[in-house]
Amino acid sequence: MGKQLDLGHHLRYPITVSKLLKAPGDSIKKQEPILQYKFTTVREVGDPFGEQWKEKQVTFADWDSPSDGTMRKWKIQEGMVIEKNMMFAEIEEDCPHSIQFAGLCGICGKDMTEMSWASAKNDTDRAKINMIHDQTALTVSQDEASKAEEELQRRLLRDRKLSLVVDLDQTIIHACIEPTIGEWQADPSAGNYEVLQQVKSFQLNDDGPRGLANGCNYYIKMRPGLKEFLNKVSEMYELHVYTMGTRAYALNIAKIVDPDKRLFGDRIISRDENGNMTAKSLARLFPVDTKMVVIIDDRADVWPKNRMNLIKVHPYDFFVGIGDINSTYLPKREELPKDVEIPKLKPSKPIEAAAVTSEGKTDGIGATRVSSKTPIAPTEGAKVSALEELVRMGGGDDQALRLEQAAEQENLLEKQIKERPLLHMQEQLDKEEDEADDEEAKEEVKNGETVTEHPHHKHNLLKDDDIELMYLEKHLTQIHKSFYEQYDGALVNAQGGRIAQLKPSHSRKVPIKEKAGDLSIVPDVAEVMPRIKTRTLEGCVIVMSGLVPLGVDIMRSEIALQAMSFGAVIHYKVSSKVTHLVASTSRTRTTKVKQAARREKIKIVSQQWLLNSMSKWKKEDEGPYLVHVSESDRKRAAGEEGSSPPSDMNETDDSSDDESASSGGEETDSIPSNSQDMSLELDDLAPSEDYDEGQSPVEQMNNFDWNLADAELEAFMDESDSEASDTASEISTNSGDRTPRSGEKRKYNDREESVDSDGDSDAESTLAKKQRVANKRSTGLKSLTSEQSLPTPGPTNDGEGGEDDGASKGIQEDDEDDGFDLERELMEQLENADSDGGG
Amino acid sequence: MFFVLNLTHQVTLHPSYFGRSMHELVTGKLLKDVEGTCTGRYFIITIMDTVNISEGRVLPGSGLAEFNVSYRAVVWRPFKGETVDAIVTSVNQVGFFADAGPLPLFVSSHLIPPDIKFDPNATPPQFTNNEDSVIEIGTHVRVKLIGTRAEVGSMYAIASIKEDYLGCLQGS
Repeated sequence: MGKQLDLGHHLRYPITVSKLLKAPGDSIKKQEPILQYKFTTVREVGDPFGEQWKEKQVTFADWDSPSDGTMRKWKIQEGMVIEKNMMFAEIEEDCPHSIQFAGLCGICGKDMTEMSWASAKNDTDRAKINMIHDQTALTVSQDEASKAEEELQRRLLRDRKLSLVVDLDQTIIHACIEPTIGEWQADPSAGNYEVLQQVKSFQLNDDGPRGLANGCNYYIKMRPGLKEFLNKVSEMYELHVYTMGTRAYALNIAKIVDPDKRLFGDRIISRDENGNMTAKSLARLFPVDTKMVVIIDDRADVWPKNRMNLIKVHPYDFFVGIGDINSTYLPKREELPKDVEIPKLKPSKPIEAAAVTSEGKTDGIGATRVSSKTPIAPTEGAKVSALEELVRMGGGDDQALRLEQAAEQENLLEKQIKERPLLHMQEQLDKEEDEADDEEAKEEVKNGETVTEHPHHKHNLLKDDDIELMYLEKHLTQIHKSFYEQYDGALVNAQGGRIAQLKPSHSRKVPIKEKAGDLSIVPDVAEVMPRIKTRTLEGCVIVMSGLVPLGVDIMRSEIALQAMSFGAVIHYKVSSKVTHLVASTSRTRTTKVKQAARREKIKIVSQQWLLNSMSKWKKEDEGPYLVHVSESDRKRAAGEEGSSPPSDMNETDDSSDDESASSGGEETDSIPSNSQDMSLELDDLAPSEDYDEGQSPVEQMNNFDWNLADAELEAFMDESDSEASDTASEISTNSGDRTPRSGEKRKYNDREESVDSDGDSDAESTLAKKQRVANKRSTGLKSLTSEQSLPTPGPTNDGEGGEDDGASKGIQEDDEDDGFDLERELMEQLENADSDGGG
Repeated sequence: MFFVLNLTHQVTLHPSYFGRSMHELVTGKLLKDVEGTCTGRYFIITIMDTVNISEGRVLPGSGLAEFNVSYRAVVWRPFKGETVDAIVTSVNQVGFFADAGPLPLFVSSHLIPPDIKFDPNATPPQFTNNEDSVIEIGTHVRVKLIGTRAEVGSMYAIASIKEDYLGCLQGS
């Protein structure tokens, strides 16, 4: 426990040690002089007559001990000259102050907040780690923390357990404060009466932000099979609760889930003790070592540092559309387009269908959206979340933000009480039910399971058909098993050597397991678990379509990160290597789907396939999830495979054509920009153009989804910085594309080529390539392209580049087709824009 | 340690209370304001009586009347080295927390006799020597304060049971 003392920077070096006041073995007190030294200074001295001169002065000073203890060793001698700061002595401290409670040392009882001239640094800094579940005032030092953790690990190893950190909201329970539930619960005639019988309730009277919501009932629905799940899992894991709710809330839930405190004990941590409103961290509970910790949570983004230990659970959404009542403090959940079967709903009532869609989408965003039963354009969602993201990043632990969030939560809760979204939804459901009595109205798939038609006469809003916990239990068992398999294996090896040779029969269990051996051989869950997980989708090369909003990089989206953690490889584009195209069921006619339809090898599946596979940790059979691809897409695709396009509208010169031919289907794996998508989405707007097939272009137009096109156009417009040039060329692109033409394949090749041929696939070089291709074309717009493909500052760089490129192409086509009027007009506009940008 | 102290306190009274039973109201307000609070040095446990209530003075601007009340009160000031009885509120591997009346205190595992060990598997978790001493939530313990610290309106203490006759109180 020796402590090195250093002289400090503030002394006037060089100093000369004149006397050592303590001998080794002497006890020293805080603020007691232990060393005398002298130093010389030069000073201006004056006399009464106004003369001034410099004089050397020798000053003697004491060096006072910063802490109590015993002198152990001097590293300096009397008479030594010291030039700079150094360690000069070693003392044995009386107390390491390694446990502190509210500013008091828990070992010696001294006040740690006291500062004096002698203290080298704040004593409270010695114990900074807060690792106790229910106390924030108690802190411990690093040493103490690792000691405690080591003890914990040994104990767990002895019991052959692991730690499991459990989230509450939407993971093992779903909470709701809607008064309607109480009414339904009391009324046996209500449709949801039966399922609600297991719903428990409590009142909360903590000082949280409530207002109107104060004293209201919280209705808690446990996930089906929770009791059995926890009982089973608690045999293999030591359970901790980690929730973003308040402490009072957490305790109440624990009382419901675990009435005799057998499972969780006092290992409950809530946002009151978390110390961070937006993120959870394992370091709060396991500051030193997270090797033996598994997390289950319905949100991966709140565990930024501990993804490897996390099992993401499909959110439990029993009270439809309510979401997580404690989530206002968390960053907004990334939404996936819900798996909704729109066409099956009554086509006569499109508004209602849309309302249902929006209800489905709201589960994370909460009641704010639930009440507004208007269809929400995807762009709006993307924009909103981007804005919120910014707010969140800028906010940090801003007090104002905190207040805002508190107010937001209050609003949300009040809204739930006032507006009763569930009641409305049920009413609407009933209404629909009445109208279409015998028609089999399909409900949205909620839990990632295929819908089992309920035999109920009446359709109930609330369903209890979640089986996620079954899989979860399986996964946890699996992890536990392989963890200890590996540990046992390592034990044998570590034992190795002499003892193993002498006592082969005993080598394994007896000696080491008692002491739990050397903790360094303990395997890391963060390695064991991913190893199991990656087997799930190993070998799958996945392209996603319609799952991630346009502005978001797919590779950073939640679903892609997850898929990758399960061993899948994500590609931006459809290519020969791709094995699966995961498409949103609501948008089955995107370019990627069409492209994939051409290749028989690629299985086009709905996102449910991916979600279910990830939930079950088993590659699901693709059969039931195959997305219906419209016949025209397939047919055209088949035809195009054989026939070669006769002409090229894009005036690409031969050299690039050759390149495209040689580079064939070989596509680069990771193109960091989504410019590809942007330009390809443009093609989406264009109707198919096969004269060869004998299909009239008008026919194609008939089943072309103009709504989709409009939505996309809108999205596109919103995305762009709405410079005059962008907008103008945008429109021209569309008008140009709507004129039917052939040679789509050539166009693809053209674009693919521009990416393929540069191996490093850097965003800049992609642009440069495109620019080169563009320059080869004989148009008057060269200056424009070069101007625009200069890297624009800011994160939108890639996207912008893509747009501009597509736009300029459109312009070129137009100028060839339509003559010079338009070109002049555009040129004028662009020049204006340029001069604006320049000025 | 408990003391009887003569203290004074300023009580303000809203004009709507002006009237005959003003002094009772002032005393009542005093009790409400002062009893059970912590000044940072001691806890005011109870007020015995009021010695004197000054004439009320109407504060300019607000119209509230201000009284200077001197009173006698029993106060408790925890001292370093004092032995107190407390009730355990929380137990964890680092030590346990207990309340000695209004004073929250902490007993770390360093200040618990080495034979009394933390048992995390028990429900609820406890410190025990597997004989007569079981310290869990709700247990009455006798502890010796070894350090106190005051903040505005609250006090904290560190205590020890690592001496004779400290620890679990049997039969209580």
